[in-house]
Amino acid sequence: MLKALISNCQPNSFTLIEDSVDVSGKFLLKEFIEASKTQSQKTLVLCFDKLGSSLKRDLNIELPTAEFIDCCFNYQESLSGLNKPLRSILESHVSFDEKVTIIIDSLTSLYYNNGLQDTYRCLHSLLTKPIKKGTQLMQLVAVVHSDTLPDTKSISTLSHLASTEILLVPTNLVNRRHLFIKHAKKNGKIVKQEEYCWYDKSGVLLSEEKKTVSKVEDAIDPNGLTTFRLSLEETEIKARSELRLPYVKTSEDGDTGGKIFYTPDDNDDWDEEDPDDDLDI
Amino acid sequence: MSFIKFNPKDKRKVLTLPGTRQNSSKNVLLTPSGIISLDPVIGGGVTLGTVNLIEEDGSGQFAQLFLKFFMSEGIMWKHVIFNASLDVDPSKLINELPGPVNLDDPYFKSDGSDSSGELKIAWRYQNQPSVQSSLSTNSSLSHIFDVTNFMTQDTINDTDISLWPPKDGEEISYDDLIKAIHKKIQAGGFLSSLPMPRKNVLRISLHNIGSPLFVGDIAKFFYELRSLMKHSNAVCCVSIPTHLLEEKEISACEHLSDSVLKLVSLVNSEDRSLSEYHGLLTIKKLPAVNSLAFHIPPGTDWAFKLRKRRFIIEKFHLPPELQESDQREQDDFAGTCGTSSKSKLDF
Repeated sequence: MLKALISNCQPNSFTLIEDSVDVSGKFLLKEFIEASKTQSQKTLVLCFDKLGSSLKRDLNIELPTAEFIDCCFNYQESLSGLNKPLRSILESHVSFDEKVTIIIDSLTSLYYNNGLQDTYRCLHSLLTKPIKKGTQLMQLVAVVHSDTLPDTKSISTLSHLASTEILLVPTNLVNRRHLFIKHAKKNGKIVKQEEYCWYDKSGVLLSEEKKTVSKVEDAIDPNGLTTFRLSLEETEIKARSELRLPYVKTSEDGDTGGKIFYTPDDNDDWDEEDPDDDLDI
Repeated sequence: MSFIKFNPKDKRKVLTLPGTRQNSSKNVLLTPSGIISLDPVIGGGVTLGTVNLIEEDGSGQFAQLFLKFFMSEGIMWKHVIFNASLDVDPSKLINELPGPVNLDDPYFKSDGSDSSGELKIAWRYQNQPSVQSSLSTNSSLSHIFDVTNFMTQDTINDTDISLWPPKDGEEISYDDLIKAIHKKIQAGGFLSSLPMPRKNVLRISLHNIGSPLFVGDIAKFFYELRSLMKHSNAVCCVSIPTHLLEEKEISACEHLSDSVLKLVSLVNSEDRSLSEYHGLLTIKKLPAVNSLAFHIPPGTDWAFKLRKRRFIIEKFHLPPELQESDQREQDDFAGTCGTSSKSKLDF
């Protein structure tokens, strides 16, 4: 599933990668950037954690369509209205009618400088409004270091916007990364999967679903438990359907009153008088 | 303090508006919610002059569907519609409104007539009335909508629809929204205190109020909204995303609304016993206008299904237990007390 998510994306999809100090999500960024060359004409990598040049060196990417943009703003100045400066940066990098992929290396600095609400608003506006006329956002990928945010609510707010959430969790396995993927399909169905991924010798990322031992109980076949034959043969079914049951007819008469036929015995003590005569029924 | 006897023949305040029905005992006007099986549950329809809250967590797709039905019903009655959403483009919501069903369609005709002939063995049950778990109204006001069939553009253009926000702004606050609603009510002549109020109903649909895109105090917004609604021939449906709000904010919203419906989506639930339904509907509050008593629904726990084309609300019940499962441990325990038979069919 991981491979499928990286290689074919729906337009306007937002993938949120949650990593922590134990497992870095950088390797996934590299995969997303490399895959973006087939989907969009331009890939913009917004670098908040590091300078663009050093991130490019870290990821070891040589892609002509990818641009690494330094967004390490001067923190001394207040960044009120985050959306505008970010938008003007993006506008200067894209041309009209282009398909664009936007990668954000970390949402943490945005969060600390501008707060959750501004960050949410900024991401929402990136997803819903085209940067320039005719530009189409193919994909937005952002990393958030989950251990740097104060509460889980902030992450759940951010993930509300995301169509795909990839959560990296520490594992004891050598050379393997353990991840939880939550992908919301267009029809509202959410697919959850646990996967392991690793690089093979030629440097290709492979992934595999974590196998869970499912408890499947065998359905009990009642025929095996007894010496009786419980099924019917065709001739027997036919015979059964043709059999006239004694009570079937009475039920169809529609006579609802009911009748009592009683033939008195010789030595029956027949009481003529109504014993409940004195009662006012 | 004196009590004035309520006189149903008193014609002074009786107002006839299209697509409304009077509840004579309470002197309120009801208008259909757009979901025909929801109306009898909430007392015949939504009450004019109330704020109706729909809570949902997760993707909020069903709350959005409720709002769409609400607006579709308004379009059928040529009501004036005010549609606000920051998360989704409001014009997109309008273009996706479900259209009315064609009643000649065999899909809607065949409903409920699936009794398969005579019973041969258990013939005693032949004449048993089948259990009707979804209620239906005999009110001719409600329409049935088909989720796969969108409202035609001509019908939409025929209706007075205002969308909010009118233009993209950086910071949009609750105050901006309340001002827009206030303006709409005043300019449209929907104030009920006017000597000649406009003979129409304003339907206000507010999608995902409380999303982080709004600036301001949500409780204050609800307070103002409710007092605005009380004095106008309008009805308002608000959806809120519960997972994005604080516990305190949610309870404030509930307190300041007239009715509260809570939706729980089961689309991603793994509980097999609930697989029949798409979600659960809980009634948390119903309006009590002009009286202390509110409508007492036949139950508070309901479930909804989104069939291929129809949306149905039913009484929630667990399915019959057809096979033995691990859930009923007490049965196993009872078995060990009696004979400890190895095979289930041994005598």
